[in-house]
Amino acid sequence: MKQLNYCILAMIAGLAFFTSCKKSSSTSVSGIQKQIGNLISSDTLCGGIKGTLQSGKTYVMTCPVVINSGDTVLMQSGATINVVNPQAFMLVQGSFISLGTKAAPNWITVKSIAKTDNLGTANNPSSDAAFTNANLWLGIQCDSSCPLLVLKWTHLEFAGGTFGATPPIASLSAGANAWPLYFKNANGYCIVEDSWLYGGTDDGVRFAGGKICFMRNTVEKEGYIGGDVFNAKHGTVGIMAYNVFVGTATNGTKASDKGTGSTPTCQIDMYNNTYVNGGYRQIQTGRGGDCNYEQGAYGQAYNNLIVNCKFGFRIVGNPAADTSRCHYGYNYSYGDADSIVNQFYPVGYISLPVTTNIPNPSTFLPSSYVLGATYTAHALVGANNPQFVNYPLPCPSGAVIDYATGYDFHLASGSPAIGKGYTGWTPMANPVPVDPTYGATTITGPGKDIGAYQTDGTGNQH
Amino acid sequence: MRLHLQFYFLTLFVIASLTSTAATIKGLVIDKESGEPVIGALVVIKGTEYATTTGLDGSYTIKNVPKGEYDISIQYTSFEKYNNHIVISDETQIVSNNIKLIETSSVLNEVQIKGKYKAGTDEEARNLEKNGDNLMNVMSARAIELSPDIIVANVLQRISGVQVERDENGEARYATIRGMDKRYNYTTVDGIKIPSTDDKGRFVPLDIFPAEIVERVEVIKSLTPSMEGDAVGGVTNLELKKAPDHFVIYASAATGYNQNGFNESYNSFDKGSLTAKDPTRMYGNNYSASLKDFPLNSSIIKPMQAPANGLFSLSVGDRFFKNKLGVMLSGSYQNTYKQTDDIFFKPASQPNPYNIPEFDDIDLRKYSTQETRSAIHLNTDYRINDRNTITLSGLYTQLNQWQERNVVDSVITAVNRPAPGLGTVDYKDRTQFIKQSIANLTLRGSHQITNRLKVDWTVAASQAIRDMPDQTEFSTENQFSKDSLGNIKQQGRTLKAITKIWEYTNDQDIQEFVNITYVPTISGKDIEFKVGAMDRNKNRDNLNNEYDINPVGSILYTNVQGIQDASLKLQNPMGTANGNGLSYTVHENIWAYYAQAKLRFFNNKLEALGGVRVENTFVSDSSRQNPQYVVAVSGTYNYMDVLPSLNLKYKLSSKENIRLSYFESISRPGFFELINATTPGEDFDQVGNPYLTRSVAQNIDARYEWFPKGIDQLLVGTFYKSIYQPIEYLLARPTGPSAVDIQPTNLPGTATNYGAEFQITKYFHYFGINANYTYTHSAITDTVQYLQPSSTGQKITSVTETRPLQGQAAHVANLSFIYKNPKLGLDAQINEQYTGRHIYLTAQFAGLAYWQKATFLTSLSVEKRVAKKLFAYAKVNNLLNTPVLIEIKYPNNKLQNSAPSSWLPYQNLKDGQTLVEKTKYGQNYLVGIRYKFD
Repeated sequence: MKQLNYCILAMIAGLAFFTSCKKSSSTSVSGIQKQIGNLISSDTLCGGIKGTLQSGKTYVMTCPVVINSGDTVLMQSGATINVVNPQAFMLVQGSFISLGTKAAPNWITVKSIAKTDNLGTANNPSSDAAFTNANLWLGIQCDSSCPLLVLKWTHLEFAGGTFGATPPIASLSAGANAWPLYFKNANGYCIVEDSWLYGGTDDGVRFAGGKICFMRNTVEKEGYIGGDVFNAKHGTVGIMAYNVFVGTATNGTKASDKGTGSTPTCQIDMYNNTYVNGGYRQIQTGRGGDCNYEQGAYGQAYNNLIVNCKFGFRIVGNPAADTSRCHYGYNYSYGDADSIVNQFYPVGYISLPVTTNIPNPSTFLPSSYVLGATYTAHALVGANNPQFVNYPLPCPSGAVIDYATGYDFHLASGSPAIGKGYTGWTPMANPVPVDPTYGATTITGPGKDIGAYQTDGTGNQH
Repeated sequence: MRLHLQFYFLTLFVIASLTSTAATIKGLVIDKESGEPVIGALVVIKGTEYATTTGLDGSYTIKNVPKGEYDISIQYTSFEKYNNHIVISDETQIVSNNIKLIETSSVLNEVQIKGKYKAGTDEEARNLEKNGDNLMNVMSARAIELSPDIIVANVLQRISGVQVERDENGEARYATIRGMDKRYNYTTVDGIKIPSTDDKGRFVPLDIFPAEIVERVEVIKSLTPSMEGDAVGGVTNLELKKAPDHFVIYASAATGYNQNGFNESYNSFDKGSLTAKDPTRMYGNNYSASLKDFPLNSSIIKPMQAPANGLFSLSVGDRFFKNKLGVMLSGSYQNTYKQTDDIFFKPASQPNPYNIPEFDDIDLRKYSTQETRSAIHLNTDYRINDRNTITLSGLYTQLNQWQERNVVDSVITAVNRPAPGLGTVDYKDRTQFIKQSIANLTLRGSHQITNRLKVDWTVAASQAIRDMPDQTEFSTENQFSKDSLGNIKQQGRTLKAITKIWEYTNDQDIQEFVNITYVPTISGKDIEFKVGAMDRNKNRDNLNNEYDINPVGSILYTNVQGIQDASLKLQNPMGTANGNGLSYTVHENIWAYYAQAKLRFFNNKLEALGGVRVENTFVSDSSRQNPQYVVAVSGTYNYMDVLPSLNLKYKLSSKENIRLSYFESISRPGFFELINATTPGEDFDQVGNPYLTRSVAQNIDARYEWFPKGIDQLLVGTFYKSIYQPIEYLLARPTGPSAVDIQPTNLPGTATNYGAEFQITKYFHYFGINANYTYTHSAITDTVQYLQPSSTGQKITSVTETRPLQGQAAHVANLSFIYKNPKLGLDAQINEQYTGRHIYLTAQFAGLAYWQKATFLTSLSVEKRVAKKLFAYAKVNNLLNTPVLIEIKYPNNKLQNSAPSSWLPYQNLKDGQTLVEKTKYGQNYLVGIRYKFD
């Protein structure tokens, strides 16, 4: 019996020993393989970079470029980056500042692609280099650590290629079309002003958070068969004003609080923008064509000029924009055809027919009008021509003009849009710092004329 | 349910009417040594035509016997023939004639080697349950034959405490044991863990095994130190057919049909036109593909009438060289066709304020699936002498699945759905072929060195392959809009995208086991000490390569043949294999050792088996993603677990036990789960989580067992489990605001899961009832989100929600009425399987979990002897075509009160909740014949 006791004791002791040292564990998971940022010293850009892209020089981007967290790349005026590899992108974990000027703008482009701006039916998007060229590159991809992105007087072009198997940021998908600019730091500043965006296959700029100021830009040919141009999601707060959008696939400016989380609700003020021919390449029905709020987002939208877009100014009812905080009016619509004027208040949505809008909805909506209902307003076809300085209205039959070159969207003297802007409201406090280098040059409040060009010379400078 | 009961009674009445005659001689035939009833013994009144066989409780009755003196003979294989003399003086007399049979000596010899019970019988199953070291439930081959099931996974749902997870065809695929999801259980074949063909997890899809190669299925619910320690719910062990003691042959052939095949067409495609290997495997990793590498013929869908099913099996066994060499060869082939209809509502990534559900899509899906399931198993043993045996077994099983999935996907996100009937409708046809195979070769030795020392060892090599070549999805879309006059206009169907995916998973391992058993006598007691060690080296490779083909411009779609290369663009000529997170490798080494002792106390009434097991896990993985941009491209995970356990069994009597057990166990994350990448899923894409850790569980069990006689039994048990850091699939949005993915996540803290089980089998002569019921209760508190307006715009707040573990039903029950008449050679049973409501998918937002509603599944099977050794059988599964319904707990009439664009069709659940999925599998019919010589 004694032996048995010993035996049991020994077993208990053994068990206690094991128990005392149990559950050891070690885990190691690989981190990012860093590429050190090398001071820019040659004309070829590849891998980790920091420093200055010098005035007047042309740089060739031969492969993906990374600006590491803490590093800055500053592009002086009159500098050019020519991207020669369709798998190249600029991954910005630090800061990127492009300081073009009116006299010497900067270019980030693919020089081998020629622009094909054709009037009329010859302008087939399937054969247009802006949407389908094999050399479209992968754009500027700002990671969540990017504190500052500034583009001033900069041409950002042909960035709509297809990501390979490993996209540079985890929230991007392999095989998806790149957005020319992606920004996702809710605490960072993203400033694009006086710049040009040309060509791209999906959204032009996608914000998954950020404090933004997008002013006085000109956008042409964004989105092949879908995609919004400035597409703000949850965490994005700022201003989109005095921009000119020509021939966008879907909306020019859009706010949605999709992705609701701990960062601020999406709040965008959209004013004095000019939208021309938006919404036609989007192949899905029920999308917008110019200015749009949905799913919890809100903001103020005044003085916008909407010309021949497939759908009018749109507030979505389900999932609903935060309608109690959406303020809008003084938006000016023009349409060449019944199918356009009958969608000034898009069917199925809840944009209020505000009486300050031009034309005044009380003149054409039935007295029994219910939000989102169909209506006919044949009398509006061709009415209220805003009278651009150089742009054919009504548009020639069969032409959906999606480019700005050769046209002038300034208001001709005598335009009914002059002096109709509403200045008695206050946009949000400056969302970004004002600084010649590290911020917005100027943040302009609402203009007294409708649209992006002001007769007093302010507004869009292109 | 009322309908079900009526149905039962009707059927019972029909069966009962077959047996209504009066009785005069009756009795019980039992085994003299064991006291067990002898079933199927022939009872003959010599010189007359009166004869019968004993029932399942050993009883017999012979009726209407005239006055006179009779010699009665009773005989049964392996027992000595018994004769006695009876005098009947009165026709109203009831003679009681109980008999004890004596086993023949030749049988006794076999007993030493083979055990007492014939392989694959219910008697053997009961004996294992009664005398095993751990808590288990066993289902015999015979019970499986008589069940309505043809694959192992479906058999499992009849076992106490087991609930099954079904694939899109309604076939059971994985077992949830006592409310613990498949990840918490493992599967063994003849006690050896086999690799998984699953591209993500460790779990072995049980639908790959045809039931006919199996001798018995065991569900083991408590672990001993000698068993691998990564089961929390339990272990499913398949014992395949073993070499017999004499010549045997079993054969069967059957045919069948799925009811949906009568009602609708079956979508077939040209199997021969699939491209077996992806361009990188054919031409190397740097190959830039072009459209000519991707013929589209496999996407041409040909509707037809589904052909009939065919099922065949053959097993032959014998013993040679003076019984030293035993051989058993079993093969099975099944070819089945099925159609399934499904309605699925895909939730939006984010609900409306106040967590009102919001949906993006309604999918109407139709699956047409052909499966061929083949298996071959060879078991040979060589008995060198009484003390040394070598066994070699080989298994190869293969499941080929050809499936066409047709989806009509109405985009209902109200952003672009102005009203019901308007908006975008996508049409998707996916053709898919998946070939899964498992091969295993196991060599074992057992050596009784001395009377007190035994060594046994096992070496096994296994390989599991899952090959999915050339999966093609063709999607087209149409737009429905209203013009200003209110007329609905169609834009016409246009091609949207073509996606081709190749995936190949190869999982192979080599494992070694050694056990040493030593039984010294200490202080007059025999104590069984056992120590052992094991090692498993596993390598897994997964290759995934996707090519996307997009239309150039807008292409009107009429049919696949009409699509011209010129109008297509290959989006990514390099494919995704290199740089893709789904192309990954895993190496896993498990190295474990244990020590245990078995002692008996109190006149051998109390048996204690306790000890400790140490498991060392070394895992390293890496994917082919670019490490410059992606974290966690590779990782190593090393850990050691010390797992104590104790099993106590107290014999209240020779027929009753009380068991008490404690064990600690772990559950390791699945292979793909540790990879930082996204993989497409049937309902949701799945994202890996490289920071997952194993779950650790403490398990306590108690069970009362009573084996009154024959195959009757009563088991009543209770259990308690506490699981630290359980892994659950949560709906998440890690890849962006618009995506909805599921991600395995360690929930913080401890989940508890407790419950009770009850199993009863009782026979009344030819009638039997078999019932089990399991109650489980688990609770986990989870932080979920609540979306509401606030003064600064809409806000998310965190709230806690207490809920059961995913997939766990509180109530699971089976009820079978059985009729077995050995005299007529008739077996019949009706089975009702009940699975209570349970969480199908958890949600990131409070109150929006997907719940699967309770289901009753009714099935029926009949077998009748039509000639000596020849039986005909019929099975009907899912007799009432019970739909599977999944809902969100939100009143559907409140949904309909919102904007018209959010109005949803198919909202007709009786409980007024919001329907999110409805699947109809159709009835399955099967008729066949079986030949048995043994």
